[in-house]
Amino acid sequence: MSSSVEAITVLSSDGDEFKITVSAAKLSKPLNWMLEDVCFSDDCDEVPTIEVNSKTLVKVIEYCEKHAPRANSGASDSDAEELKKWDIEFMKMDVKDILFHILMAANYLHMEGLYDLACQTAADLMKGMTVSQIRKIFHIKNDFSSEEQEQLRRQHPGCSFD
Amino acid sequence: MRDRISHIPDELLLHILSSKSLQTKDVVATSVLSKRWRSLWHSIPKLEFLDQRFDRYESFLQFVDATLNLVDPKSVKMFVLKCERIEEYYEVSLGKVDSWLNTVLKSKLEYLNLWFPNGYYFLIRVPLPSTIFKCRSIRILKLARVNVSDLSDVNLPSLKTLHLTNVEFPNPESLALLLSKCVRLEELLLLGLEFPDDEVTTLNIGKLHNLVIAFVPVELFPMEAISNVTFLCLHKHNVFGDYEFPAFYNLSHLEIYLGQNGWTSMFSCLPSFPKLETLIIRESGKGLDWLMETSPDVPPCISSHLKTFVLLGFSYSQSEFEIVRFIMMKATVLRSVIIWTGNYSSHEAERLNLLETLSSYPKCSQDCSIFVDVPSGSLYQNVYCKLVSHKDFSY
Repeated sequence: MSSSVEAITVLSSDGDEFKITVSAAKLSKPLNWMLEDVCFSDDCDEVPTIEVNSKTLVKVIEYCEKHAPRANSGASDSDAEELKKWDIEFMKMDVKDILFHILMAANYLHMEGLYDLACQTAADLMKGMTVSQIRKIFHIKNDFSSEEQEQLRRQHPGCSFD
Repeated sequence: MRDRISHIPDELLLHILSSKSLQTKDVVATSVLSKRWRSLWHSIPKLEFLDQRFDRYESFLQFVDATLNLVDPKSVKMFVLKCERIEEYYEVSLGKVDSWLNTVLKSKLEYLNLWFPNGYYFLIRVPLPSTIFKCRSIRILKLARVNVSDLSDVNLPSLKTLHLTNVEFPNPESLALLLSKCVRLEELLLLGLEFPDDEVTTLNIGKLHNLVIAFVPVELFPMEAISNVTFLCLHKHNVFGDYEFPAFYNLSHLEIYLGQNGWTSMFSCLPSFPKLETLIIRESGKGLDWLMETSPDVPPCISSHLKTFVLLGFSYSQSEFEIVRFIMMKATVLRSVIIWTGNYSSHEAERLNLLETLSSYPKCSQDCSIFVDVPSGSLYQNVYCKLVSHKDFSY
């Protein structure tokens, strides 16, 4: 690719265009491969599509741009501390609705940091919750008959299912 | 509304279920969420059984039995067992522990952590099956208060981390044999080793070439064996003057108890650590022999490598003030001086007063910051975490 390129344009699965800086795109292996691809040379107009919807892609790019400086240069302890706080805040924003989209996107884009963060957030939402609360949070439909449920309870003595 | 989680592949859900914030008890409970979840957890790689999460110890035993009955042993990579109440059904528990271990050792186990209490009515040292030491896939092995008797056939080619706390061995030779078979060992923590015959001799072992982190009793180890480490933490009762330190060319992190050592003997050892960057001294208040007038030559590691100087258990003694002044005056690349008084109830005014006194000392490194009783989980923790985190298990 041409060294003059500082940001690239990508399309979301909804067809919207997004800009992402080269250093941020490097956080994702597939994006990094794309960077080396000819389509980012100056004389090419083709815009690659990323199979992630717009709402999710906005968040993913926000994450990449925030983490890029540290990932590329290595940073001090205080920066790491600050970044950890930022991650917690990032996941707090009404992200609950798109948490699983972010998880899938991070998996698809091979972004280990974001993937672990999303998994951790999902697990934290489950922690200490009763079965019915977890169903409510993740909108899981209980499709067991009451007999099946009873059988499961017998299989797992000492475990609370309420 | 759509089922938010239904489009997630099993593999990703298992990753969520393996998160550190969920224990096996929570994971098994997901089997009643819906039909899809019913047997999903059977492929979980992480099993973590802690009896304190159960009202009755008996239900805990039943739960582990039932879980191990259903789980697919091929997928288990991590097994953690912590039995705080093992005394309640000691004999029964011993049989169970044995059979549980034999179940999980059939899998490609990578992480094994067994923790037992010291015992209230009698001394607990849980005998372990020798199969543990033939598990070729184990990378991390942490054992507390167990008895290791049969070490005739050790085969641990993948082992990188070994932590042994209050572990009973038949004799020092068996420990030496164990260590000599761990050819890839990078991290070694030995705390409270026990041999029935009290006579302790130096272990007869060759150099542990791959060892990076060592927390070991110095009297048991030929120094040469561990001289490749970058991180060395010495035991409380180790007295410096008694040992010949060879040069530790890789060592950047040294953690010691000042205790009976005294400042002068500690300083005389420092030239053995030419690349020392972090020096952590516990019980700093106990060293009373430091005087500026008799200060030794400045070891080169202090003058040109030391970045972090930590005193834990600061007790406002004259020696401690003098040593901080000395270090700040001589260390050219010093970045942090971290002081812990351990006195959490002290007034903020007292803390600020100490900070002010230390800050008034002449500094040879302009980048140097001083921290007094900074909140836990920050600076000092970071130093340690950075060293060990890359070795942590990722589940």
